[in-house]
Amino acid sequence: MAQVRYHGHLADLTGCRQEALEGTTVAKLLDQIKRQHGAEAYRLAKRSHIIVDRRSAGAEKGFRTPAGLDSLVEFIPVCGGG
Amino acid sequence: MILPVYAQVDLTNGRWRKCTISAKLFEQYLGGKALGARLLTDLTPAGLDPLSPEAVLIVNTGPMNDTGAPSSSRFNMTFKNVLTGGIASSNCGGPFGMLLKKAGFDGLILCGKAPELSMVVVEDGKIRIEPCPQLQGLDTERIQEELPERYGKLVIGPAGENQVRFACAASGERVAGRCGAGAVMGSKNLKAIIAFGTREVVKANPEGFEAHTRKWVKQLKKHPMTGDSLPRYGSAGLVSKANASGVLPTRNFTRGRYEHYEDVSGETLADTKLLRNSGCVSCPIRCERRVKVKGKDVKGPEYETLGLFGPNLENNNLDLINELNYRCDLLGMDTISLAGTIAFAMELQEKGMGDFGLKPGQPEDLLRVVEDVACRRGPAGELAEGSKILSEKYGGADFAIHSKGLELASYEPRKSVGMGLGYATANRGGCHLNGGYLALLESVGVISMDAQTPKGKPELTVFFQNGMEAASAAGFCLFTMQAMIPGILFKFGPASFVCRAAGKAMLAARPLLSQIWKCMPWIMPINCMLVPHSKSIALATGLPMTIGKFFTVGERSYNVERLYNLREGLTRADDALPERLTKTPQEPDQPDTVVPLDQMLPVYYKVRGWDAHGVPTAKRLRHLGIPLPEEG
Repeated sequence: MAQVRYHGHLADLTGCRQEALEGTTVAKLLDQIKRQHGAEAYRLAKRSHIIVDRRSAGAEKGFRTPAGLDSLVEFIPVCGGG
Repeated sequence: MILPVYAQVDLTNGRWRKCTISAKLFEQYLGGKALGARLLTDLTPAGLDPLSPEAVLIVNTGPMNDTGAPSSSRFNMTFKNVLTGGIASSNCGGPFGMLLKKAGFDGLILCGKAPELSMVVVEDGKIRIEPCPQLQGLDTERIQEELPERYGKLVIGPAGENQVRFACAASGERVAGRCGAGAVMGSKNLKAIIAFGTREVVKANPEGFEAHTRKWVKQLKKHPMTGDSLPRYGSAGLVSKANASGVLPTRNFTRGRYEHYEDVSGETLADTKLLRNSGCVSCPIRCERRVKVKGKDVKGPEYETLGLFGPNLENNNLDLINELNYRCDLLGMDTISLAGTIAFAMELQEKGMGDFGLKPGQPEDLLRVVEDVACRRGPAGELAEGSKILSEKYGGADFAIHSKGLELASYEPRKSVGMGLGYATANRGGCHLNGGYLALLESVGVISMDAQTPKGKPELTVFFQNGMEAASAAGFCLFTMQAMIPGILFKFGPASFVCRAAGKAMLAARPLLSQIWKCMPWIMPINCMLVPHSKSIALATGLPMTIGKFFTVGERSYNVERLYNLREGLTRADDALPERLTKTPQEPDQPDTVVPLDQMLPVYYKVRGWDAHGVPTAKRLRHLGIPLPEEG
């Protein structure tokens, strides 16, 4: 089970800040999110920054990035600023 | 075409006169920081003390101020940088700029020194100087309450009067924060400038302008960044992502992650402290946070303040950060430079290299420190000089986190190396915005770009530096530039193939990006909604503005600022970062987590058309229509 942490509005949509989910890749975790929290949470999670064990999935294999049993996977909605 | 009208004001004798900016200068520089840099170069000799009576302070608007264009209330202050000795421009979204324009002036050029504490009153095309000794020592809120309500106000607090090197100037609750604008006003015995008038901006094509503005506002409101994320979380929303990317400066930039970051994140701010969001005049984005400090509804902290008064000082007390932010605004000090200087002084003290009466591990004591700095009182009062001067006296240059003397903003560049290059080359010193803000592409934005590679970063830095320079010159908020990132990318997300490919494509476009400046402005002789700024300027002013010309204004401005810095004695050696960031990897097991400045700088100079010493070549200056320094 990977530990999944939600940030921003995603925590509101899922109703929790952190939970354990089953899935060996980011894509599989996203499927779990869709099943457990619905399409809106899934959409926002998919569009978020996804950080697997402190490395950006965007810089790794995207949605195919592996998530291990002890992985911490963070979903952070994209923000602006400066 | 209506040309900008400026007033030259001699504070020593109270005399003033109107002057009109020529059509050529207007077209070349527009206004704001670009025109400010040109005028400061022309009006002052080299080598002046920035706090001497002979020093010049330019307070000016851009052509878009008070037009009703989106996010166009920004006005500018240009002067010799109190921290770096080079160029300074400081930007503010308060109501003063709009009222200055309504009073009949696009800018003020102030020189001399008033014989006693005074204020400049600008009203319906006329200017007078009034002594105001009764305002001495008042904070920025109190003084604005004391002055008549209808005026737009630009004031300093006690820190400005005491010439703290990073003192700011305030208009409403917004500040021109960086580089010491407040100290320059203080050195001139200038406590306030107030303006009122009823002049309306005449637009070249009012109907076309209104239609374009409607379309642009719609675009900003629809865009995921300016229409959702910024209104929802403000810039504070960046804390979590910055931490996850390793760019959240922690413990004087020794690390890029903070274990208690959630305590000071934008989400926590929104969930537990936020009263509502607000914004500058004419801005549809409304990114400002309103929070309660001691029962009072006040402006909340930006990301920079959260990062630098929070993780960088290992402080996870959000209430305290809110209060420190408010106190700094009242006293009139830049939170970035102050917090950066405190972090440096704490490390000096911990290493036994100096004693400033700081109490590491007791964040509540920071409130006392802030007051002491503003009043230049006690051992902590020495922090009013900033990191660079402290490091020259006490040592520790390798961990004094500044560039050219200006403290770095809240992005740890070892995990965002393009941002590192931006800090090092920014004309006003360690500024993320003047530096091109590549952190948005590398670390915190929607595009997935390799944050460690130096390849492509010089080209992208030049591109964004020039674009942001032009937007600022016109009077636009730089946040409007963030809507240039296609909204469609946000539908896919940073982990998607599309956003990853976008990042790779931007880096791969470096040969093209390095060449476009040779054929700008002819390469983009058009206007389109990808860069709505240029058409807005054309419709409001009647200038034949295109996207190409818009970016050329930015490039021209960047070169004029560079020439000013060179004239004042800054050199290639000042395009630097402290060794902590260039030699010590942030992650000990990842040697590439340093800023490879030596690899990026030569490419950057080449793209800019500068020689190996970072000096603009005669060829590039002629191309831009900038007089060669020896031609005057």
